This record gives sequence, C-alpha cells and structure tokens, in this order.
Amino acid sequence: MRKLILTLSVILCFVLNAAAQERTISGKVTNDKNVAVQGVSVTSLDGKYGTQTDKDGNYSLKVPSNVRTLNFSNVNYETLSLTISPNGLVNPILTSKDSRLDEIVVVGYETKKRRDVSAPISKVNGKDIADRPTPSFVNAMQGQMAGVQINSFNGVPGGAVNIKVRGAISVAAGAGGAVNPLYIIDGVQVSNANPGGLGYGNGFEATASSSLLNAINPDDIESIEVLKDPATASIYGVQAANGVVIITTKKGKQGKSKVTFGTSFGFTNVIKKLDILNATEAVQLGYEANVNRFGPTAAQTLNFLAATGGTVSNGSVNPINNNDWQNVAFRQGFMQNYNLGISGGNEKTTFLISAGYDNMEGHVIASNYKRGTFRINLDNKINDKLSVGTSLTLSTSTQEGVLNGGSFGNPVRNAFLSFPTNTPYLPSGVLRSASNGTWFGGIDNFLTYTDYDINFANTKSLIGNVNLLYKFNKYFNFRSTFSTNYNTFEEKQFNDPRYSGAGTNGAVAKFSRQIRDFQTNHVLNYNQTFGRKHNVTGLAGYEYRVNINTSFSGSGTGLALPQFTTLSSTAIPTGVTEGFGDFKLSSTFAKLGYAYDDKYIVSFTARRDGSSRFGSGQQYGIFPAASVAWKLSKEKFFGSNFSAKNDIKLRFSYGITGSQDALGNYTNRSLFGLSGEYLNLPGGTPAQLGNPDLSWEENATTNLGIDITTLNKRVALEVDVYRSERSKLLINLPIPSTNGFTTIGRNVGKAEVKGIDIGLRTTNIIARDFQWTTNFNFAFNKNKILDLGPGQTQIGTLYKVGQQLNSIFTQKYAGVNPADGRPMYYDTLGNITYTPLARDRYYLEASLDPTFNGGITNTITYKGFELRFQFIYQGGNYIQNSDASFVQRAGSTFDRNQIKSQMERWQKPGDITRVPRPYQGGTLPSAASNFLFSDRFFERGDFARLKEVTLTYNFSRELLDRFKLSNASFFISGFNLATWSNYTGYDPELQGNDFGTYPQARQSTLGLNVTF
Amino acid sequence: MKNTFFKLSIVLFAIANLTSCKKQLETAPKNSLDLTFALNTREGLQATLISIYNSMQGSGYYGRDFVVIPELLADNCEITTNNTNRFINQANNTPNNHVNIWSGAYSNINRANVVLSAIDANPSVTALEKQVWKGEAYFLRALLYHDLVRTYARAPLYLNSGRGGVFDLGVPILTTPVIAANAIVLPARKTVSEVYDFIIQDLTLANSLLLNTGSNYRPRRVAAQALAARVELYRGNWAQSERWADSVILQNTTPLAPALTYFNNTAAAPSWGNAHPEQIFGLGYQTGEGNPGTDCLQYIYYRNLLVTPSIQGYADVTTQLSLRNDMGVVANVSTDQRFTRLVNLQVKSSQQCYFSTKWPGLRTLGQDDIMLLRTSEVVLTRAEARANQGIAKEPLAIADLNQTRTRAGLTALPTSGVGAPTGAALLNEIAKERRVELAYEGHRLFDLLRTGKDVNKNPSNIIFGSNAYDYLIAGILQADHDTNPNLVRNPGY
Repeated sequence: MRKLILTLSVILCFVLNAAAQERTISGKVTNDKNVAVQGVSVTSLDGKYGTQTDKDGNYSLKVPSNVRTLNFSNVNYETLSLTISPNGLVNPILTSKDSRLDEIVVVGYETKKRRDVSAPISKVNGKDIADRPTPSFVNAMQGQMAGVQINSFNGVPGGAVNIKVRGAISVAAGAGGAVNPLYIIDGVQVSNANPGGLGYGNGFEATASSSLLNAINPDDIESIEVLKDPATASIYGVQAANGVVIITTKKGKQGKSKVTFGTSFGFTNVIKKLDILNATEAVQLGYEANVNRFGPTAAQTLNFLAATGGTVSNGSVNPINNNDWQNVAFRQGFMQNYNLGISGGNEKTTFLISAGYDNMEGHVIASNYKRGTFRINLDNKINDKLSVGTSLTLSTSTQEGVLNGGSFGNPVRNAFLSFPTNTPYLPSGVLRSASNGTWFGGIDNFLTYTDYDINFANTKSLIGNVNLLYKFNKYFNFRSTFSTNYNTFEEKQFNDPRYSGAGTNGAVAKFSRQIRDFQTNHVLNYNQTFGRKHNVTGLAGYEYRVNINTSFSGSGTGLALPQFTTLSSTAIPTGVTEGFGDFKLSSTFAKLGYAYDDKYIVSFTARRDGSSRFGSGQQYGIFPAASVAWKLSKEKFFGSNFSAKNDIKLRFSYGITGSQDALGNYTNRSLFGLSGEYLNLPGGTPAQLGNPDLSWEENATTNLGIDITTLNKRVALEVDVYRSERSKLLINLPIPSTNGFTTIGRNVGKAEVKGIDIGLRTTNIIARDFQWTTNFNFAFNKNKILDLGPGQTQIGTLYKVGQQLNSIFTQKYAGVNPADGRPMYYDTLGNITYTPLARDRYYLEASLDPTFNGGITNTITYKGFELRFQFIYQGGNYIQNSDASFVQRAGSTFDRNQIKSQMERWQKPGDITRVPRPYQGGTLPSAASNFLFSDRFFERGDFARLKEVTLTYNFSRELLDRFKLSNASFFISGFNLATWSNYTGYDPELQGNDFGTYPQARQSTLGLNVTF
Repeated sequence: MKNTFFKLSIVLFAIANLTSCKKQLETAPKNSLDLTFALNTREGLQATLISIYNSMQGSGYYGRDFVVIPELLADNCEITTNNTNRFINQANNTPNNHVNIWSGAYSNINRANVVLSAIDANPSVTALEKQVWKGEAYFLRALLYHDLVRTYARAPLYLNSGRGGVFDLGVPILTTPVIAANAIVLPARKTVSEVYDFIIQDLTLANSLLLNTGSNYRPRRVAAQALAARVELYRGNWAQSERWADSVILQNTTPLAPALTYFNNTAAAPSWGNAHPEQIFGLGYQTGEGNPGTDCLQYIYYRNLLVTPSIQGYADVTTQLSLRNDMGVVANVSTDQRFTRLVNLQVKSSQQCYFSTKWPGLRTLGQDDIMLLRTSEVVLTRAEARANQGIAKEPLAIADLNQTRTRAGLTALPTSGVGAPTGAALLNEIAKERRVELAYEGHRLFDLLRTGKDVNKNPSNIIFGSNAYDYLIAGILQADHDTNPNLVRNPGY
C-alpha cells in the first residue's frame, strides 16, 4: 500500500513539473586547455533535470524557469555550478581535478578522500602496475612509493619478494629474515610469513611459488595502498607494526558489459655473466698453486695436469677443453601471459569475472613457473538500505626449480665454479660426473641434478569474502564481513638413484601444508556534518580471526628404478611428520574524527587486541593513535585565490602499533614436547619454559609531514619525517644451561628507526597532444639498537647496542705483502698481521640493510603514444658476497674456477697487488687463508637501475570505431635494461648474503590489450 | 529515528556479545602438551625417562662424540691424513676442542629430576613402576654426573697433591627440576669429592631399587653396581670398588664371554655391534629411531660397513702407534686377537690404516649397539682395585687379568712366584690390558687422567700437570660463564 502511494506521488510530481513553464538552456563545455569535453553531466541542482555533453562538448537541456543554476560534473574535472544567464547560454570552462587529492583511499575500515587524510599513505593504481612480467604485484610496486622498499630475494620466476615499510626491523627475524607488513586483500588479512616446507633452507627455491601474494593476478588490481604510519595503521593493532598493505581489486561498473582481453609474450635472459677464467687461465692458476706448494715435479702437480688435460711449455699450460659453464646454466626463457575479463552491471547489480594464465620459463635451466587465476567480484543492492557484495579469487601456481645456496646441484653457483676443462657430456652422450669418474674436481656436474631430479611445488589458494552493508540513515551504516583464506601447498623432491651417491639409491620427499584462515568483522560507521562546518566521523567495530596451519611430510630412500618417482616406491621410509599450529585474534576498535571547515582535521583511533599468542598475564594490548592536520592554504591570510590553486597541509601524528610475528603460536607456554624414542617407546620432555608475560613487540612512531600542491596543481610534494621507537622486542635471553634450558624469551629489546620519505609528482609539460609527468620518490632511514636486555650488550655480532641491526663485524684486509705474496690483515692496533685473531675484527661503517632507496618514473604521452621509463636506486648497505670468497682464491682451490681479477695474483717479489700468491689449499706458510672471510668479501650494495621502459600505442578513436572496439593498445617493454653498480656478483638488488642466488633477469615483452 | 536507534542498539549489543566469549582465544598445540598436565600423567613421566636414553643415543654424546673424542685426545687414535675435516682439532689437542656434553647432560639431569620429584605423588604409576623408574632415574643421573665430573673437573686422586694442582671444583649439582621460569638458578660448582659422594649416593639408591630382570638396554641392578665399581675406582676407593665389582661378577648375569661369542660367531654376523653377550648395559637402536645417520660411530671409525648394500664410511679415525705397540703389533701382525679380529687393516689414500670394527655397521646405518658397561671392564676394574690393596690381593688381581688375556690369545701371567708381576709393574700390566681391552670405547683419556699419567702422543707429549694438560680437561660452556657469575672457570680457560 505504501509502495503504491509512493509510486503515485512520483508520477504526480512528474506531471506537475511538466506543467511548469520550461525553457531550453544550451552551450558548450570546454576545459582549461580549450578542448571540448565530452560526457559532462549537466544537471539542475536538485538533480531532477539532466543531460550529457556530446563529443563536441555541446549540450541542450530543457528546464523549468525556477531552475536558476546548473551543475557541471565529470570524474576528471572539478564540479562547477553556474547561474543560468538571461540568454539561456552557459559555456563553462572546467578545470582538471588534481586526481591525487580526490582519489579514494582506504583508511582502516573506511574510505576517505586523500585530501581529508591526516597521515601519510602511499598509493599506486592498477594501471601503474599492469603489464609487468612478474606474477606478483609486489614487484610492480617497486620504486613507486616513498618509504616502501621492495627487493626480490632472488630472480626465480614467481619468486618471493621482500617488502619493507620504513625500514621495519625485528631482532627475532634474524639476518636476512623478512619483516612482513600485514596484507589486506579486499578486506581479507593475508599472512605472507614464510610457510616453510621441505625446501626451505634445504636447497630448493620453493619459497617462491608458495608466496601467498602470488594468488592475486596483478591485472585484477584497482589500487594498492600502504599505510606507513601508526596514525592510520594502528587501527590494525598488533598486526600493523611493519605497515599495512591494502589491495583493492577492480569491480564491475554500471552500463554495457565490457570484455577485456590482454596478452603478452617475451623473453628473459640473464642480466650479466661474470668474467670468469678460460681453461688456459684456470689451469695456469691451479698449476701455480700446486707448484708453489708441492713443486713442479710433485705427484700432486702432475696429477693435476693429467686430470685437466694440461701440458706445460715454458711454465705455461695448454688444456684441451674449454667450457664456459655459464652458457650451460643460463638460457633464454620464453614467457607468455593471457588475461580475460568481463564486467558490467545495472543499477542493482555489478559484476566482474576475470581469468588469467601465466607461463614463464626461467633463464636458469630446469626452472619454470605457471599460474592460473580466476576471480569473481559481485555487488548487489538488495534494497535502498541493504546491499551485499562478494569477491572470490581462486588460483593455482606450479613451480619447477633448482637447488640453491652451496648445493652441487645449484646451476647458478656452479656456473662460475665448475672447472672449465670439464665439458658437460662425454663423446658418448653420457653426462660427465664424479660418480662415473669422468669429472675433474669436487663439485659435481650440476646437470646430474637438473637433468634428472625433480623439485616441484604447487600452491592453490582461495581468498574470498562476503559483506553486507546496511544503511540506517544518512549518518549511520553498518557493515559485516565474513572472509576466508584457504591455501594448500605441496612440495616434492626426487633424487634420481643414478646420481644420488653410493648407498642411497635415490630419495623421495614430499611435503604438504594447508592454511585455513577465517575472519569476520562488524563495523558501525558514522559521518555527519553539523552547521556546514563541523564534520564528525566515527566508527566502532569488532573483528575475529582464526588461523590454522597443518602440514604433513614423508620421505624415503631406495628406488628400484629411476622411473619410480613416488614416495610409495621407496624401500626405506626415513621420516614422517605432522605439523600443527593455530592462533586466534579477537579485537575491538574505534575511531573518531573531527574536521572544522575542512581546515583543521583531528582523528583518534584505538584498538584492543587479544591474541592467543600472548601470555596469560598480557592477553590484551591496546594500540592508540592520534593525528592532526592543518590545511594552511585555507587560512584567510592566503586569500581565496591562493587556496583555490594551492593546497598546503601540515600533518602530525603519533601512534602505537604492535607485532606478534616474533612470537610463535605457543611461545608463552610451558610445554611438554616429543623427544625421540627408545626401544619402541616414545620419549617426551619439558620442551619450553613458559613466560606468561610474553607479549607483542611495540612500535611507537612520531610523524611530521607536509603536503604541498602548487603551481596550478602541477607540482605535488609530500615530505614526512619520523622516528619509530621499537620496544618490547622479543629477545631470547640466555640462561645457564645447567637449568636444562638455554634461553627464555622476554620482551626486553629496544631499537629506533629514524627516517624521511619524500614524494614529488610534477607535470612538466602539458600541451594539446603532449604531456610529460614525473614521479620521483626518495626514502632514507637508519636504525640503531638501544637495548638487548639486562646484562646483554650483544647477540652474536649482528646485534650490538649502539650499532645498526645486521652490522658487519669482520677482519680488515690489508692487501698482499709485496715481498712474499702473503695476505695481510689489520689487528686491533691497526698493525699488519698475517694471522688475525677473532678479536682483530672491526665493525664496518654500514650494515647489511639498505638505508636509502627510491625511484623516478617519467611518463610522456604524445597523441596515441605513451612512453614510460622508470629508474630505481637503493644503497647504503653492504652485500655479503659469499660467492666471491670462492671465486677470489687466486686458484688456491685448484678445482674451482675463478674470476678474471685473480690473474693479477702475486707472482714475484715486488708485485703490488691485492690478490695473494696461489697456493693449493689456500694457507701460505705463516699466513691466514688466502680466502679468510674479511671486508674483502663485503661489497657496497649501492646501485641504480633502469627498471622499465614501456612504449604503448593506444588506437585512435577512428580505428577503434572501425573495428567496433571501445579500447585497444599495443605495448613493448623492457625490464632491468641497465644497471649501474660496483657489485661484482650477478645482481646488487638482493640483500644480505649472496650465496649462489638465482639472479634476476632482463626481460623484454610485447603485448596487446583490447576492450570490446 | 527511534527505529534507527533501536537497530543500532541491537548491533552494539551483538558486538558486545561477540567480544565477551571467553573461549575465543583458546588454542592448543598438538605436537606438545601443557607441561603441568603432562607431568601429572604416568605416560608423561615414562616418556620423560625414555627421552634421556634417546638423548644419549645422539651423536653429540654416546652416539659418537663421547666415544671417539676421548680416544683422539689421548694416545689411542688419530685422524687419517686424508679425512673429512672431522675431529682434527681434538686429535691435535687444540685448546677448546673437547667433548661438549655440558648442556645436553644437564638437560638430561633436569629430566631425571622431573621424574624423581613427580613420580611419588602420581597415583597412576604402579608401585613396581615407581620403584624401577626411580631406580633408572637415579642410575642415569649418576651416569650423567660422573661423565660431567670426569670431563670438566680434575681427577679425585690428584687433587691438592701438588702434582695435579689445587683446583678441586667439580660441577654444580642440581636435584630440583626446573620447569618454570621462576625456578631458574645460578648454581655454583661443588667440590669433586662432593660430586663423587653424590654419585655414589644415587647409585646406592639405584642399587636398592633396580631389579635384575629385563633388557640390558635399560639399567638393571648389576648396571648400578658396575657403574659404582667404576666410580669408586676413579676416586681410589679400592675396597668399595672391589666389593661392587665382586657383586656384579658373582651375580653372573652376563658372564665373561668365551672367545667364540666374544669376537664373533661368523664374520657375517659378528657379536660386536649387535647384542654382545657381555653387555651389562648399553644403548640399542631400533629401526628408524635415534639414528644419527652419517654422524654415527661406525661411519667415523670404519670404512666398509657390513650393511647391505655396502656403504663406505668416512673412516677418519685410525689407531696410533702407541696403542698398536701395546697390542703387540709388529709389522702389522700380532698374536692378540683383539688386533687380528677387531681391527681392520686398510690402505686409505696410500696410508696404512687400522680401523676399529667394534661397530661394524651390521644393521642399518647408525644402528649398532653401543655398550656402556660390559663384564670385561668390571673384571679389569676388580683387578686394578685388588692390585691397589697391597701384595695380598695381587694373585687375585693377576687371575682377573688372565681372564681377558687368555681369551685374546695371550699367555697367562703366573699369579705368584717367578715372573708374577707385582706392585707398579702389575698396575702397569693392568693398565695396558685395560687399554687394549677397552680400546676405541671412550675410556682412554679418563683412565690416563684418573691415574695421573702423561699422554704419550707422537709428536706432542702432554706432560702430567703441565699447561697443555689443563686442556685435557674440558672448558665449561662459555654461554654458561656469560650467564652464571657463580661458575668458576677451569684453569687455563
């Protein structure tokens, strides 16, 4: 009945309106560059009358005479209201929006316009990360956000990526350990903590494809935001100390259904090869090493020459074979990518369905990566008050890989270490190998691994959520979200019995893991403006999360035939394990914001987190934050003319966030654990001393920032300085082992991080057909350890009070004694010593962690062409080049190849060089080893890199119309095209320890995107 | 508005309701249990006891290091020229390279203390189990303390003697279990004689509680007595040592084996490494359990392990000339069957090597039995204890000595009259016999230390009481010195 009345009154209303006196208003809409604007909606203020401009910017609209003002609006321009002139002509000139200020950012359970935010947030949009030849969106964020440092751990296709927000630190993570931010994908919290497996630390680079973030197809992403500061992040409480990364995927839009299709293919190659010795040089060094130790006619020397096929004439050698193993290990890989999306909807329902497929061959033999993704995003308005939305991602990724680190099966490492007189195959086609006695040297032919063994991993992931939104009235709404994240990971290793070594006869190991994560949150939102100038916002909510992680593994040895590759076919079972872990979080949170006249903005948040990981004495933690912002440009003394064209905002915030990553699921408890077995009886033992006071690690950050948008909004600058005090760091304090335990965990560590983030966006040239914009960012941060617990000033050498985390404490190399070729070092007094002691070590002035990083991206558009090129840079750190300690031995380990610089070895008294005298075994009489680990093997990690060049051609309107397309473009891209660095290893982009690390690739791709 | 207010209050009520559930933060590990709960179960206590055996099976303790290293530090064994870099520093007596059982032993002592403190109050443990498990815990605690005191402290007979120095500190004694953070202590070292008194006290209790039934892979009453005989011998309580040894031998549970079963029944199934007939107490390895893999004893000692398919061990440990001399080896030939049948001659990288085959690798890799107490040791202990009690007991001592001598194919020594050794000569004869009989089993270093002898290593002799001698006694874990100010350092460290 009520509905009927409503319908009737609407009809009545139309009738009445039609009866009023009408007139026709017309005009042409142009922009500030005098270009006609199509698609501007022209409406009366009450929205009852409206039309759109045509492609020449013209419009014509009939309105009753009581309509005095028209509204002109378009997403790309500032909305303009103009009074209708007596002649009925209105020709507005629209000014372009500064889209950055009005873009929507997600700020912890609510969305806001950037201009209303009082704390720093970094954001990249989907188009800035599309069409990259990496399966993870994280790579694509590199160099685009100030204060967000992104590094690939390695170059494995689909490899895991390290993301560090504002130099996030953790003592518990250890050197090179990841300090992960919290990832929120369409409202679902996703952990990216290393899930472990068979291969982790055991050779196979499988951490790569198991990265949970690879579940998301970068093509589906609308935007990525990073909450760097506690003022915004603290609403995520104990999970937010290392920043929060919020990923929002694309949604369907009202209107005709759109079909988009994209494809690209390309090649991947190793960026550089090391300049290693050829066979003649390598045998020469090995020969000298033997002669110097044993003499020219000793059995050892003659054996060496016989084994390497060398003959000596006049003191120089002539080997038979010469093989650069880098050509065996590296190859050109082919990669391809396909994406299909369908989206659309009406005023009730919008939808997006997408599917993607990637296939990447690695540039290192026997490594490749495949992924399929599927997504459905659906939104429906049930009625005026209630709407429902869902998003669902399914993905599977498969990786075949190679062993890493010091393994003989690692092609990367053995590409430069394998002796060049070895060739891969015997003339018969059989592999040369140590096991058939046709191989020279202690490192086996890596092809006996890569050609025969299996290293396989598969990850399947489901991330989905359903949310209900109920609007009580204009001011209040309530949202309930239910989400799940389900992940399975399967890993398999098979060692072929033909090459698995005597007595083993092949081995098989299998690992499988499942993560089940359920989350729900319920949030009440409030937003009301009083008397035009007072805006009050607020929210209150509850959230609950359960995460369960189960795993299973089995292994066995002894295979009847190499063709049997399953666990069932092993003769001797060697191990079975089942793993289990769970944690729960229960949290309440609230936020209150107040803005006066859009000029003064204050905001308070607080979250109370309860975690099953905290001890019973500290089950709940409260994480508050406050921020204020002052929009200086709005002040009267600047004048309204100024404030229309400029925007200056000062921001200050302080807040506390937490991290529970350092805590294991049950670290706080006294536990009784299994401990082997004896005579078929199971053993068990007190396994952990509980500490009920164990709790979160804390990050209290003070941030001061300024945003300036000026020069007709063509320059936008954001600068933030901050100091984070990291306290309650989890330290495993040693206790006397006579107690039966060696450590007990306590929240006693303290450290600080100080830094600055600068972001600058400029529109350098803006003309009719030509536009050039630049996005520059720079971040610097440095940390210092303040406390490591009572009575403890040092943990190992990496952590020392007063030093940076991951500091380097090592011997100082002093070159070679010109008289006898012995390596020299400095002792504690700065004097030369040949046999340095442990105490003769020094702290290097920088640590393993980079202190600065950033990027500069230029985009130039001319008519249909768009050229984008991006440089990234990073530095202030050392890389521990462990590989160098093997290839810089002056031939003293005679079965390993060396790099060219080693030819500058000391040969005769008076030689001035940094390369010691070759000496088999490496230890010259009365000297330390030729390759003693010293500052010689720590190299500066500073680099700049031309990361990307992409040229895109967008089809012109005419062409599109002819083919009945709504959009189409071609692109050609190159990645990692040039690198400037003094680092002698393959790739300075990695951090920490370079030990046979799979290097990054240079990639070139060609692609096409079409929208129907 | 009223409607909205009503709906809002329902929502707020629902939120408040959700947050008040008490179980929402409860989680439970599945591979571990709450400690208090577990220690109140019968099975938890049994598992704790079992874990001590499991821990001792490991390669850091009896599984390898505690057997091999005392041989390398002393004059019995050395590392082959071509080697895998294992134990080189111990073979060269480089300071700070010794066995490292400190934290492992105390962890096991804590477990024994847990059992001893919790077992009486547990109603589900039967009376018999209480008796035997306590007996085992006392025995194991005594074994662990004796291993600690002979590794980390000076020998009892030479304390304050002027020759051995005046440093008489033993090791800390802990008898209260540490199962909570507030129970952590910073214990000081007790004197050597206090530690020995404590060990004998534990063994006396074990002797009164243990039975003589059951497997010899767990301690029986004879094991407690055999260990007591050893401990009393170490501190020169000769009569007591003899009494305990007598008791073991008289009970005859594992009589001295004749040559046939002592060496091997057949070459394919040797007695050594597999249920040896004279094992009083030893560690057994079932398939797949506690297996140190390539870190096992036979891998470091032996080259061609008997397991099928055959495996080549590291074979890094060969026999020093000094031991071969005592074995009567001349030009690689000896009449002593302990050389001909238990030492394997091989050329490794053009070096003539002598590998022990006491752990022949008969069963799956790493699963040979490791004997900790055997009858021959008890017989030789009694011989030494008797010989030290004056001339009257010397014939008895020689009779003991002859038992292992004749079995090995050596001639019997006259027990009296012409040719019968006496005094220091007899003691030397016993020491030599003990060295040969117990070779490779981890006794040599401690036998030299407790008798105050030099270590005659070629080329570096270590003179009794010298600086270098300090390093035959292990240094206490640095981490413990760092965290425990009450712990006095050993001289030289």
